[in-house]
Amino acid sequence: MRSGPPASRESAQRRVDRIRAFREELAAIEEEGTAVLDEGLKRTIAARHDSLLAEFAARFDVDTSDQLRQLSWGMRIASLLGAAALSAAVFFFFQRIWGTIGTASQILVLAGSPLLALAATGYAARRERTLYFASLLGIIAFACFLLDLGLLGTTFNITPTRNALLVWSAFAFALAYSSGLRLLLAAGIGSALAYLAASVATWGGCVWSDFGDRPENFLLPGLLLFGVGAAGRHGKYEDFPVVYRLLGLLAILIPVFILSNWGAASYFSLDGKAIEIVYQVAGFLLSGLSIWIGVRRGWAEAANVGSVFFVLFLLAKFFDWWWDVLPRYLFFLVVGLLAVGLIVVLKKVRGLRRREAA
Amino acid sequence: MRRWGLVAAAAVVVLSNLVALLGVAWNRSGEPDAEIVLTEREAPLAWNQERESSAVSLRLEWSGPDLGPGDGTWFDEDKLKEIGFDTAVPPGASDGPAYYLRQLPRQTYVALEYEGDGWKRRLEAARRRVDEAKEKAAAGVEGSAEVEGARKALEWAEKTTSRLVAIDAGNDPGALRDRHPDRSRVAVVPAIVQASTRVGTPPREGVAPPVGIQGFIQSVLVSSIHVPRDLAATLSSIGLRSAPADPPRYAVTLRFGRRYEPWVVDIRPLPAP
Repeated sequence: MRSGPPASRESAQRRVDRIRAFREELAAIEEEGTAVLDEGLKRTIAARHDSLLAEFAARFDVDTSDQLRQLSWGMRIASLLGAAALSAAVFFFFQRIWGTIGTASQILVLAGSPLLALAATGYAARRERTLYFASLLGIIAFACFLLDLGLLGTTFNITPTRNALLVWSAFAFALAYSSGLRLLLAAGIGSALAYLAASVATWGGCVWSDFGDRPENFLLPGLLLFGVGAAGRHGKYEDFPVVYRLLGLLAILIPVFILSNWGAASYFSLDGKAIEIVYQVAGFLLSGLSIWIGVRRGWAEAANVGSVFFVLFLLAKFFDWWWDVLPRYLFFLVVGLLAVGLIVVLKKVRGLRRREAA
Repeated sequence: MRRWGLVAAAAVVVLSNLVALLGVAWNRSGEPDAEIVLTEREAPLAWNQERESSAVSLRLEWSGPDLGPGDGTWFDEDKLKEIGFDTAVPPGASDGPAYYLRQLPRQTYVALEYEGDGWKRRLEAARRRVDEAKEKAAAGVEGSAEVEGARKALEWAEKTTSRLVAIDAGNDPGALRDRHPDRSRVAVVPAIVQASTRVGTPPREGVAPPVGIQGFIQSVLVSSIHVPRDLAATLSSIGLRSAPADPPRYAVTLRFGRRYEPWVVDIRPLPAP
């Protein structure tokens, strides 16, 4: 466990949580009478913790109590909803005025709105440590940029190109890596994923906008994203790799799940049933691998996504085999027993891990 | 928040807008690839004229090759092969339809001709159907409803439907232009095309209909054309936001540039009959 000075609000918050847990546990142990710390030592630790809490509160505006944490969650949700509503307001405002302004004004409004939103984001970031307003404005800036290129295309009748996805991705990444906002990182990763999948589609001779029609287009980009997340730390943003790994795994397992049920969507011109069987086997192996990696490396998101997809692959298989044959009560009984079996297996894995840790 | 991120994001905005606008300027510079005068029949108001939007755009209405194999369609197996479709499986094979159905569409260029031979053939076909319906009605095979239906279809084709017809396709827009040099009647536009099997008309009764591979045009990439504010005023004066009228109420001059992207250069009201 790292105990150096925290570089971000998230790591400061984690340290605060550890301090609070330590204090609660110490109070419980003392109340049980198991052990009592020396008063002098207790005062030294308490003073150090108090100074850390004060420092983190001043520097990062961390939540030092449950009430503050609940309020923070409320503010996060409000800023997300506010960003969505304000982005929609910008969109409909543009729609409203679009026919009433000349071409030069249209260009100014289009290019100016994301720049203005960026300036506002920078201003808000300088004024507050928690970045609630900055994140709200950052999301609006991204929405304005989406609108900018989209409307530029329709206003000047430009042939749609996948390059727009690349620049949207660059914009979102630049904002995410300068602010630490995971939502913008997810927007950047999503745009990059779409761009890479569209590029794979065009290499296969397809129209770029049809990249979703061949789920295999997502496999390589998904692997690449997971690799970026698995490779290591991302500067001071310790929670960024999780987003890469999560979206990378989804970009692999969702297409495999689709292909395991709809072989005709594959690039391979083999019998659809044969393709489905190959992807069903691949689905079980990949989701199992995801659980294994998740458990080994302590990546909860990998273990959780792997578990969900393992169950989904199993359910799909059971559905194929037994939905038409078994009475409904028996079918759901089998599914229930499957869940129980999975709990038993995971419990055994947990026991093994606990012994390893000991 | 780090300053470099904001600067980088702002640079992305400025550069991408600059590249897009330079592309527009390049498209509209020099001699246009085509300049065609269409009417409301070929360029009616776009569907999305909503209450919330003040923007005005026109929808490019066109029709593709609709003749089946054995009927002399230009969008045949050779053309599809030239565009890049795999035509190895015979269309009449048991897995033929599925094989062509699973091939993804491809982007290419299509030549759209205004009031040309393709359009005239359509009118002739509609006239022929009226004559055939009349003959069948006289022989007691069909009733007067079929004759009326064929007559309405002919009237619709003569007075209302678009006269812009797809007459050729190819991956090289320059070669397409060389084959169709009339820049005042033929526009070359980027489009998405698809392959499929199609059953044609049997040559005579008792003979199996020919099964072939035929291409069809899924979409023209820029089919909604923005109308600048000053030209939109002309449309307002002649009843904006109403359904296409018969006869057409306006003529619109479209230019297609170096990148084969269109823009509106003029709109003028057409005199009422």
